[in-house]
Amino acid sequence: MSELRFTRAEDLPKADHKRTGAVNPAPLVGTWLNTDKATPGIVKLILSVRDGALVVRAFGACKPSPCDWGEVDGLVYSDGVDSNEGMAFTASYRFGFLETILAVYLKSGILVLDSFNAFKDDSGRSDYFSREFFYQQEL
Amino acid sequence: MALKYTRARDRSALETGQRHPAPMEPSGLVGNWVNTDKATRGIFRLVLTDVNGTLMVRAFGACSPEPFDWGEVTTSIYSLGVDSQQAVGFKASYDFHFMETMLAAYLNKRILVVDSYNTFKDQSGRPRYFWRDHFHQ
Repeated sequence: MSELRFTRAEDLPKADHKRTGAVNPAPLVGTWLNTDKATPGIVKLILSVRDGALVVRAFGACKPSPCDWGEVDGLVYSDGVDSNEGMAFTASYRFGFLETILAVYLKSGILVLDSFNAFKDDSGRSDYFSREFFYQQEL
Repeated sequence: MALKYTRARDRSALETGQRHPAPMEPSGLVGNWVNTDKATRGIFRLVLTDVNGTLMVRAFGACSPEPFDWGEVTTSIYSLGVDSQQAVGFKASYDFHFMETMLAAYLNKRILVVDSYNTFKDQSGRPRYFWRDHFHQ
């Protein structure tokens, strides 16, 4: 087998590495609620699995009811090349006037969500970053 | 004309009546950033420069005996809100052919927090992985 290419030490597996390939999205699945009930950002995330892939559905803070952003595919990441347990994901929403990248990871049972928002209209609004925290809704 | 929005945070400028069409200011991010963990297995160092208003990033991966120079790429910069012009975060992508890395970074109390989302495109069977590094100036 040819030598593995890498960009940093973390790209290289440990000696007993098993080739795992796909990352299991199951640890991320569920309904996640913002820890800030008054958030002006994202109020809720629904993460599910369809055909083995993560599906993301986000809801923005709107009145009188949250804005349903619809479903998009999520790319799932593990915490290293030796693991196939999902602990992070990215997803992209294209609203036409705005593009939002969600970059999200799990830490101690809290889902930490960073959103990178770029406006495509001529409104003069600055592209912005926001960080929000979510807990899992109990069944 | 009413501004379109996806959440209340998008509407801040509308509510205050302020508009800031001027370009965003990346100066708070510019500089040499060194990992707080000298033994990191991730990104060893970052160099952020302002080239005619565009923030450029040059990353160095933790490799032995020398850090691996990833080269320089452009970034997209982000403020803390629609009314702000001070950049506090950036996003950048590296395509190494055998893998792709997205950097998603933000400033937190003068610490630069850099999350990398890494996807292998070769046949090595290595899974996508997430990694976080912290940098000081």
